Amino acid sequence: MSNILARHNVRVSGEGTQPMLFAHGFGCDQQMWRRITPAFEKDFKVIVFDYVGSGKSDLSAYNPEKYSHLQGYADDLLDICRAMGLHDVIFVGHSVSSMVGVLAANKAPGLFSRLILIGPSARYINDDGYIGGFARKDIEDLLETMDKNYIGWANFLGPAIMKNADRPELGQELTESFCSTDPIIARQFAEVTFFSDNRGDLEKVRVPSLILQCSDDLIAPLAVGEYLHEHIPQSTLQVMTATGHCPHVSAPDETIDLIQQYFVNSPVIA
Amino acid sequence: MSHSRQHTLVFIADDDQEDCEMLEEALRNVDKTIQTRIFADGREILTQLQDTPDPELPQVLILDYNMPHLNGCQVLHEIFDKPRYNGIAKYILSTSSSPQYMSECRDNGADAYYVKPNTFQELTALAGRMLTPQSQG
Amino acid sequence: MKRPLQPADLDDAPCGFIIISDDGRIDAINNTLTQILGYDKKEDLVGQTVGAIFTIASRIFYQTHFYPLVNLHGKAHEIFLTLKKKNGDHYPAICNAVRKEENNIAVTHCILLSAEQRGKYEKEIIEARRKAEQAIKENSELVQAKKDLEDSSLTLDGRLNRLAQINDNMVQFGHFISHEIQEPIRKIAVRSDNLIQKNKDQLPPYTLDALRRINAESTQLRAFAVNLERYISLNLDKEKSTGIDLDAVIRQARHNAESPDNPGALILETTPLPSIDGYAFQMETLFTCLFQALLDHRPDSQPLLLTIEGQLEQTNSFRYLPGKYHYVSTLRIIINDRGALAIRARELTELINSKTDITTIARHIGIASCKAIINNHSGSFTASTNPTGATSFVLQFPLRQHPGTL
Repeated sequence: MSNILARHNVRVSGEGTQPMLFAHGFGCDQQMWRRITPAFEKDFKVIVFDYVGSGKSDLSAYNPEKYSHLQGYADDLLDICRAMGLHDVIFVGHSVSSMVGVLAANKAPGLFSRLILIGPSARYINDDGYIGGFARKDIEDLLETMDKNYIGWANFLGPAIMKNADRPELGQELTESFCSTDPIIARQFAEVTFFSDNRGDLEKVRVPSLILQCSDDLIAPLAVGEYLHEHIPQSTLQVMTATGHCPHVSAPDETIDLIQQYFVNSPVIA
Repeated sequence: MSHSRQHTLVFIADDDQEDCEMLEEALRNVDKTIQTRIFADGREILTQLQDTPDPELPQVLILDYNMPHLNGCQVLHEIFDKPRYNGIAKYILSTSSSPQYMSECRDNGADAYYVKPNTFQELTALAGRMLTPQSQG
Repeated sequence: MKRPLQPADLDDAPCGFIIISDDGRIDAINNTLTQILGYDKKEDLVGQTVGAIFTIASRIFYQTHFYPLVNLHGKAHEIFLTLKKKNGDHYPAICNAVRKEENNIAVTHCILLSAEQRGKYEKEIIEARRKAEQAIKENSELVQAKKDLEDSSLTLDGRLNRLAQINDNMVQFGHFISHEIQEPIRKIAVRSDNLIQKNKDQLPPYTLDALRRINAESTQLRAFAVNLERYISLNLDKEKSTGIDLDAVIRQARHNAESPDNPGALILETTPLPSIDGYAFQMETLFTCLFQALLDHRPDSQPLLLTIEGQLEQTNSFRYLPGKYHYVSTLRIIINDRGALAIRARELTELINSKTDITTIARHIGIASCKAIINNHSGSFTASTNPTGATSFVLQFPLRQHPGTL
């Protein structure tokens, strides 16, 4: 058990018993959630973690064969749930993690009580009438951009002094590594993410879900959110005022409000 | 051998004498005039078949599967591609119910594969089925 | 001549300068960048989203990396981005950024420098690095693979040898069961039957009764030996693997399981299942045995309603070796009794989930056969009862069999 928790740098906080499991997206690590999680610590058991290859995960656990498919990440998610003996999990996933959560919930629907999907997409590349938002060439360019930022990657590797204006009680400055991600792993993660096609998994979802859709998100445009809502049974679509792809960073208050509202409309605590 | 053509001739090969006797009795229950010849293993019956001129070949062949020297399926295999044996009805009557044996025998020209029953009554019913094509022919 | 810095200095500085708002819009842009991008006046760009001046790839990178970095960290250095000129040409640039608060509103200040020359060299360096990495990776992978192969071929050889021995024993055991054991059992059954039939009227009732019991027990024992032989032959038989039409197999199995003892006893609600690789005869036997077992476990003689649905998912096909991953499409067939088996579902669930095959053979030859067949197809078989009392029987098979598995 401790192996799995260390492998994913799992951190637990909060006073509640029902677990809320936050899964970061492509490009960062569990720190993406630091403006969101405090709001839920009173009522829930808040769990954050890093995928293998991100943050302070165990890089030696990276296995290119395993992680050449999103199912590899989903199986890790289930490992964490089982190692911690979690059930009735409220899963909160950003970006590609939404589909990781969907795959995990489809494999073990009994473990999850709600899925909260922030900026999800089941397929990024346009395909025969389906609008994903990107052409294959765009994604190839992105991989090239990532290659070129290999040199600037130091930015993404810690340690660095981080301003923590939103939580002054922690002191003015907090020494933390920022979203450290191995560049080679990040590149494979990008490939797996942007070339994935999970449209076939949507109809199999048996867990009620909330889709948080930003109003101007290049990576997951409105059409994609509507497609997901149409194909995932028992899903609620909420279009946000926030723009961009990271509302949990840029508009934490709205993100928290909408999740809490969803809990009121669709009660999760037994 | 003047009587041989009027009555059905059955060749039986089984290393178990008791089984042979019961089978003969069951066959006779179905057809009183039946003629039988008993062989104790696969090689014996094969030699006899090869030495028998065409007009005197039997109408029915009933072979046990597990026998010394040659098993029932090996006997079938030896006569499989010889046209002179085409007119003979060939049956396997075995204790074993292995699907492997069954398909092997079917592939080597057995008309049917029967598992030896537990009662004489069932054996008589089986004998009736094995003799039916003859009485029609 | 010393002088204070003036706003015009920034406007015409030898680098691009841009202020981006938190919702991704251009708040301000300097003359230099406006000209580089081929626009006549700043107004054409101010108020637009950054999408107007970034390529799609750079916009993704901006959203997933750049923006969170600057937002959470406060700054970023030497980030490579590709800008898009008015005429569509690309302008590769290096960007430094800092996050500032102006009247409590957060914005990002960026300077942009041409990376065209640097880009050309970089491209070559990246290509060279990729090749070098590839070579090193392939080489170290090769060395490791060779070592693993040597290690495992020794182990494998030992195991294969052992397996071959076990298999030979199984073949002999199968033959033994089919002949040496069955033969005397059958004889006891036949002789006792013969004695009963021929001496019914002469034998004292006590003897006759004892004979009947001997006959019944030997008949039962023979039936078990016949089943056992079939079970063993499942592991030895090698029929040819084909694409299986599961819907047809299930229809046939339903027919087999029902007739002639239970006509109309089984009602199936099915959704179409995909075709999978497998042995046709074994698959039919599997579903026949399973349906028979379910019918045997009905608490009453009411018709049994089962729902059957299939789900496709990805699973790791390595089941024994740790650290090996190969994701393949797997079909989960879920058979649900909707609670009809009630309390009797428990015995079945225990049998199915039991790890010891030999016990299962003794207790229920049909379920043991199902398990053997599923194993032959690299599948798995589980059963579970949910709190509402409905029991699910879950059969999982790889859609396509790996060459050499079957």
